[in-house]
This record gives sequence, structure tokens and C-alpha cells, in this order.
Amino acid sequence: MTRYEFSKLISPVTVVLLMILFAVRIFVSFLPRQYDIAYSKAVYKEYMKVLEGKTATEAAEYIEAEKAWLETALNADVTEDMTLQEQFAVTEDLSEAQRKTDAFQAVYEKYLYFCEQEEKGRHPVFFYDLDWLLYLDDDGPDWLLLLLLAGIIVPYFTNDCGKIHSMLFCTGYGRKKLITVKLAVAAAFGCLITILFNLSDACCFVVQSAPDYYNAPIYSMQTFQNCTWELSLTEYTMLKDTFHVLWSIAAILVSALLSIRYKNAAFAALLVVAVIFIPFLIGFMLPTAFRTLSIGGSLGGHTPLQVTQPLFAWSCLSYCLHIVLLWIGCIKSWCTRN
Amino acid sequence: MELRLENISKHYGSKRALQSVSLSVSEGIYALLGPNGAGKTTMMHLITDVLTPTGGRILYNSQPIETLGTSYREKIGFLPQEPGFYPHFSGEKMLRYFACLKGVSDEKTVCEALLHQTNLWDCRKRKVGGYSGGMKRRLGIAIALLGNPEILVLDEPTAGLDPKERIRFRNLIHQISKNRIVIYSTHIISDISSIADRIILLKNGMVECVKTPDELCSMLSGKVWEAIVPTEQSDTLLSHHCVTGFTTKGNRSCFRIISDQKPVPDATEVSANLEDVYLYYFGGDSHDAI
Repeated sequence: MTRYEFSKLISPVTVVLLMILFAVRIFVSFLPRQYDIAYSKAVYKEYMKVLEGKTATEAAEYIEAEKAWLETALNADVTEDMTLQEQFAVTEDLSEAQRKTDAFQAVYEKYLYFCEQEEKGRHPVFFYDLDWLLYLDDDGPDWLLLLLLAGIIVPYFTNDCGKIHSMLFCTGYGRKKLITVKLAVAAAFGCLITILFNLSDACCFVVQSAPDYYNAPIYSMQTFQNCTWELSLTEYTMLKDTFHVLWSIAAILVSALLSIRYKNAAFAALLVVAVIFIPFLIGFMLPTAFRTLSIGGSLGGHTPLQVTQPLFAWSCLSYCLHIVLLWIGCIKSWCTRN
Repeated sequence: MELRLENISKHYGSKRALQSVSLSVSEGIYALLGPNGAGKTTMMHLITDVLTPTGGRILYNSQPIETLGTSYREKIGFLPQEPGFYPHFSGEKMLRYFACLKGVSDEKTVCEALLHQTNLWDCRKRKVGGYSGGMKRRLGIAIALLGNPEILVLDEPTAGLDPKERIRFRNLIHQISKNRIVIYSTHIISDISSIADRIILLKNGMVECVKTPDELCSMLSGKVWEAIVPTEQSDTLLSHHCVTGFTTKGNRSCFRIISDQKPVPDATEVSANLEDVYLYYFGGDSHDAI
């Protein structure tokens, strides 16, 4: 039965829609990235390349030396008793120090943050993290993906609530078993598409940024200082993607429930869009409040909230509970005879 | 094999679709005859366990169908008025999908046999979206026949078919009616006149009578007349009597009239057919009669 349900779900229209969406996604992923920083990305990268792999002591020595050099270079004056060559060297150092000073400030802050972490018994590592930050930046689910999933799922369920419903309903397995298989297929489809979506994102990130340090602890980036879990970048990425999958399953089940309940594809689609966009609008108007719902919020990224492991566990439990309730709601709604 | 409806009622809000219907059917073809809105589809949905009755109960071999559950539904074959198949599925795939839903073992062999039986073998690979109305109906009957059901319920299966397809469909129903209960809803009398064992007349949600075609026709004995009158009297006859048909030849017209009394002095009594029966019972409120 599962095979046929997949065939019903993946109609030629669905395939075209998915291809368009993936093309748009990949195109957007390759657009130049916007970095919200006040210093030179190139200089920051230079510093990080130097600091990569250094022990805490080596890093401290380098940073202190660099700090001293910058202070000297920025405060040095050209005097008349200098030779022309000396004057040229001072000017050149000044210009180099001016180029580096803002980026160094960011590096220095990071160094101070690392010192704090070392005192807490944590061991952050230096690596070039700007591309990682953009990649891991998470404001919650991908609305375009959720809407596309809803667009596919609504007709998948409303079609079976239409003219063919009585034929399905009077078969031996046309009730609980059929709706369970349908929900499982829809959820599996949602998971698959979300994973493919995230994979395409990851591939674009790898191709564009050639990142390194996959196993570095997530708290090496100050943004994630509140994260109480000892997660590596890879583990955090997987957790983030898991949350996206949970969001997709929840959106699919909401779409399924409304489709079964209202039976009319256009009306159900309208309701689904409203239900999916209401959180988006709340998030747009109250970003801080909404971010507690996102993975970044749950794990302490991009939010002043001191989010800890129990809250994350609560979020996860809440999602799972909602999914189970929606699932039961769909089965009950499908099996209800008038 | 007995299906019994005991005091069945079905209400949709304040609308009473069926009222205290009691009926017992066993092997054979039962034609459910009635105008639009008489409650035919509701009755079929109740028999197929798609709807729950507001009152009363349905028994199959003396057991309530809600108790039998899946084991009852496995014995049902249902073809609704407009099946609404998946257009991107091929005929064969559609059939095999339903075989799966009905838990048919050896689905490949069963489906192949049904595709041959319903004359769909040559177009089994074609998308259902490209099927004609007749092909869709035949696919519907093939689906209904999956699992060799003991109860076959067909809701206006010939609506919208051309005469050739209708005759082909009628013959098919006749072939497959052995050893099962066939409930066939229609308001096209010619479809059932030759194949129905019994006719259930349904009017305003109530069963008027259940009789064989011959018994129904004999009930109209002395009420069906043929009269040949000058054409100029046609309007008078049409406005004052229930006319079931007429032909015109030159300046004279031949009328077939249902009337308790002789409509014109020269009228001759003729034997009734099912169209006359239909018009006698439903003439007042049916606009779909032939």
C-alpha cells in the first residue's frame, strides 16, 4: 500500500514543483552572502588562519605580541631624525595597523571570551567562523519549504476525501490502516524533502566556503556561548536539521488534519497558509519572543535568553507531543462517519 | 446470504433522507428505483457502511454490520455514482491499489482476470485521466468486483454512458450477478427492466414497495391505454393525462396514457411496462424519467 500512496503523492505536478523549488534554493544559496560585521572579513580570516591549531598558550603569546605591535604601530610618530627608510617603515606599519585594528579587536574579544571559557573548564578552538555563523544562523523553519509541503499535502488528502472517499472507506483496509499509511508516507516525504533541502544547503556551504574544523565545539563561536551542551559544529548542524524535520512533520500533520476536516482543497490550503504564516507574522513583529521557538533560540544562539538543556528538552518534547496529538486527530477525523 | 435493514433512518440536520426503511434482500439483482433526492445514494452509503444510520440497524446474516466491521466491508463491492479516480494512475495500477486495500491475495492474477472480464486489458497501461466515461465505469466495476464480494452495490452506474456502453455494462452486470446480492440504483428504467429480479421503489426517503418487474407491471393492469386521436387533440390529452409516449403519423397521433379510467372513448387497454410504473409512482415529482 505504501508504494501506491507514494505514487499518489508524487504526481507529475509535485515533481515539477519540487524541481523548481530546488533550483531556486540552489540559486539563492550561491548568491553573495551578507556579513553583518564592521571589520574586514579578509583580515579576520588572516588572523584566524594564523591562530588555527595553536594551543591556548601559543595563541595568547601571539595575540599579546600582535596587540603590542598594533599599539606601537598606531602610536608611532615620524620624526625628523629618522632616515627616509625608517620613515617609510613607520608609515607602512601605521597603514597596516589601521587596516588590521578593527578585525584584531574582534579577535581580541574572542580571545578574552576563550579565556573565560578556559576558566570554566571548556576548550574552545580558533578557526575561521564567519561562514559557519552564516550557515548555522537559524531563525526557525524554512517558510517556503513548509508552504510547498502544505501545497503538496493538502490535495493529497483532500482528493481522497472527495468522490473516491466512499470507495476507499468501504474497503477492508480503507480506514485506520489507510490513514496511518497516508500519514506515514506524508511524514516520510516531508522528512526526505527537508533532509534534501538541508543537504543542498550544506553542499552549497561546503562548495562555497570550503569550511574546516567540523568537530570544533559549538561554543567556540561567541554567539553560542549560552549553549550548555558540548556539541561539535557537525552535531549542532544535525540537531538543527532535526528540528527542521520536526517542523516539517508538524506542518504536514496540520495540513493533513485541516484537509481531512474541511475536505475542500482551496479552503484547507487557505487555512494552512494562515496557520503557517501566523507564527511567521508573530516572529516578524516580536523577533525575540519567536526565536525561543527556533533551534537557535532553544540552544542559546542569537538570543539574550539563558537557554539551557531542560528548555531544549522541553521544546523537543513539546514538538513530539504536538505531532502525536495531530496524528491521532487525523486518524479520528478520517475514521469519523457522518 | 441475507441483508436486512431494520427501521433505518438517516437525517442530515433537519433533512430526512431516509425514514423508517425496513427491507430484506437476498441473492439476486435488486434495482433501486426513484427520482433524484429519493434517498437512493444515502441508502447505498448506509449499506456499504460509509454512513452510520441515525436510527435503526443493518444486519448481514443476522449480525449487525457495525459489529462485523472489516469482515463485513471485505464482502462489499461498491461503485459510486462518480468514482473520481486518480488521473495519473494507469487502469491496472488503480485496480491493484484497490486490491491492496481490499486485502486481495494473489492480486496480480485477480487483477488480470478482472481486466479481461471488463474488457480493459488492452488499455490497462493508459492513464485513467484519458479514459472515456464507459471505460471508467468498467474500471469501477472491476474494482467493485475485487475480492469476489457477496454484496455488490452500484450507484447509477450507467449515468452519462452512450447506449452501446450501457448495453455492454448491463450485460456485464447480468454476468456477474450469480451468487451475490446486487443492489443497482438507477432512474434509467431500460437498464433494469431485463436484468432486475426485484425492484425497490423509493420515494421521499421511504420504500413504496419491493416487487418483481412482472408484479409491478401487473399492478398497473387496466391503467395503461393507447389512444389514436387527431393531432389537433394532442394538446388536450397532454395537459389532462399522464402521457408516457406518443408518435405522430400524418394528421393522427398515437398516445400511451396512464389513467385510472379510459381517457378517450376509442382508447384500448395495453399491458404496462416499467416506464409506466415509474411514471405512475413518480410522475408527479420526477423530471428525469425517460
